[in-house]
Amino acid sequence: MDTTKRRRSRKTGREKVPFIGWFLFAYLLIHCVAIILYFSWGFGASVKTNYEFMKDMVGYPEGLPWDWAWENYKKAFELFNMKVLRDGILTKVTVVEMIGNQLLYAFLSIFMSRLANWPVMYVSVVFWKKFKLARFIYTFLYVMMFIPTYGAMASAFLLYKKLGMYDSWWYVIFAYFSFGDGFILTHAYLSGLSSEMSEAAKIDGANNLDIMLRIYLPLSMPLIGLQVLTAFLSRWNDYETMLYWLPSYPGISYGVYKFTTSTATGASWPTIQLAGGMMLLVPVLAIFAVFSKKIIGGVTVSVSK
Amino acid sequence: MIENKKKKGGMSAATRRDFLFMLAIFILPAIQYAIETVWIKIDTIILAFNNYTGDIDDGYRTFAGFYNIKEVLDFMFNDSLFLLMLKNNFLRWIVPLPLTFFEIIITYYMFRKFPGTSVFRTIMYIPMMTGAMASVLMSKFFVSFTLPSILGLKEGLLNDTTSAFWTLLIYGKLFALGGSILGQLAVMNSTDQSTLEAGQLDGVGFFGELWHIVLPKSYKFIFLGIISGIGSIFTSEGGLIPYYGTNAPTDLWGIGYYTQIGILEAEPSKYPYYAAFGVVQAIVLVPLSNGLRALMNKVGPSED
Repeated sequence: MDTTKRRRSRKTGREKVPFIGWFLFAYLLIHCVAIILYFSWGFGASVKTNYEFMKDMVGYPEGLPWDWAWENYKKAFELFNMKVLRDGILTKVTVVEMIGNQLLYAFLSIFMSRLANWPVMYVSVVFWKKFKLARFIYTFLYVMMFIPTYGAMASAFLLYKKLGMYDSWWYVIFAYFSFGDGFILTHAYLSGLSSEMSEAAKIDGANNLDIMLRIYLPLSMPLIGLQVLTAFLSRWNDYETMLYWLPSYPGISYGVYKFTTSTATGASWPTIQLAGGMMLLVPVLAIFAVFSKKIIGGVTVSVSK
Repeated sequence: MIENKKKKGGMSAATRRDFLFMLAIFILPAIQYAIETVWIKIDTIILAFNNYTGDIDDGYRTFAGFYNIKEVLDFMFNDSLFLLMLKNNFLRWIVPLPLTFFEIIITYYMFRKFPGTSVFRTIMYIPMMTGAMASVLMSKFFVSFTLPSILGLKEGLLNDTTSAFWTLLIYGKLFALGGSILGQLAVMNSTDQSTLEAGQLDGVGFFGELWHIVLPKSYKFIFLGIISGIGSIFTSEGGLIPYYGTNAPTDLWGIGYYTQIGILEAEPSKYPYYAAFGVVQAIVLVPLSNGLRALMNKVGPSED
């Protein structure tokens, strides 16, 4: 017998939803349906002709899917091409190159940040009790987190321009080789791993590098996988890094930014621009559809850490 | 095991090996961190008190005393643009604030795992995933063409600056809802189950449980959001860059937009001014946010 005074359904044994709960349910339902309709509208508009869009701005195009204006995507693909000043020469950048740049930026930045973050957090956890430096690394990062930086862009511009890294892939390699990115989560995850296997390996004569790469790295793969996944989604959408630091290596997201904010592009029609936006959206939605539980779970864990 | 013997006054060979291994792993990222984070923070302060002459390659700095700080303060106290940006950012912070309570109630609905929680949570997070540019593109045309056609309006909502301001504010808040709920949910999930069960035995209702059991555990996180929001009065760019690039109407500007766009288009000689701007922002914000954080630790809902 349920001893709580909370009302439960006799049939299912589930807690009965109070009136306010049903009110919130209705709100959430409307909110979520609106989100789905909104994205659906975006897709529908992207496969309309300009005439169809101006005639009916809400619904889907008339006719069967193969009759829709798929050529908008082809046009967007062509109109996305942009010219940038690279090493003093006006260079044409195609959509394919932009996708390549965005992928290169995403993978390079993620690789560099994990390359610095995971091993440093590993030594900090493993040698936590043995060396003060191991404790200092973590504490220092934690303290630095609370010292905000304002107006640092000026100094950063000067630094990277003087180092010759501004507007080059060296910027990504250097700036993202940072162990501070996600350090709390990595530290917490590694602290939760058992040390028994590494102790056994030590007795068998394994050295520090073996233990790190052959025992702890495979054990950390679920965490690294999650970090790579969430970082990829944010890097794929990132246009600001290209805007500020890599203006002559535009990615697809920066391309969309230029496409929407420039009046000189000649592609001012909503249908063409929306087709461009959809090209950016599809990979993200596909990844989210497959990994939504992991991504949401990962975000929840990150916040609680 | 001769090699593991501890030398007089030193460390054993094994300990030394461990230490060297740790150092080898740590040294390169430490250099990067010292340059990329620590040095840039320090240099921002130095740059604020310098003049910069010439180009990046052959430019040089000279000590300028408080000249740049005075320039910034002069702009803040005598230029109406600063007041306008401050007002815009204040509205961006204060108007959605009452919605925080609604957010908490929705989060609590999900915390109690009422019907549809999992599906709602996933769908509400989609806009967070899609990123700024694709979302902005859609919203730009939606509020400029489709929504006015549904509502029977003659003009697009981004056509005049007043409606554009409110449209961007409401749109931003609605689309960010999924992310803030997820954050609050993570904190609510840390509520002690035994306290919850004890509350249930006492017959505590929906709001009673939220106020007396769940909120005392999570109000710090919620207040942290409010505190960082106060900071945004002095730093927010108002989400204008993806919509307008560098050409946003001045009436919509936020302080962050002024500094970000300014630095992007500035000559190196103007860099010290923007560094000084950052220093003044820090002088205002660091005591403010730390003071509020201290206050938050003293005041708040208590567990009865």
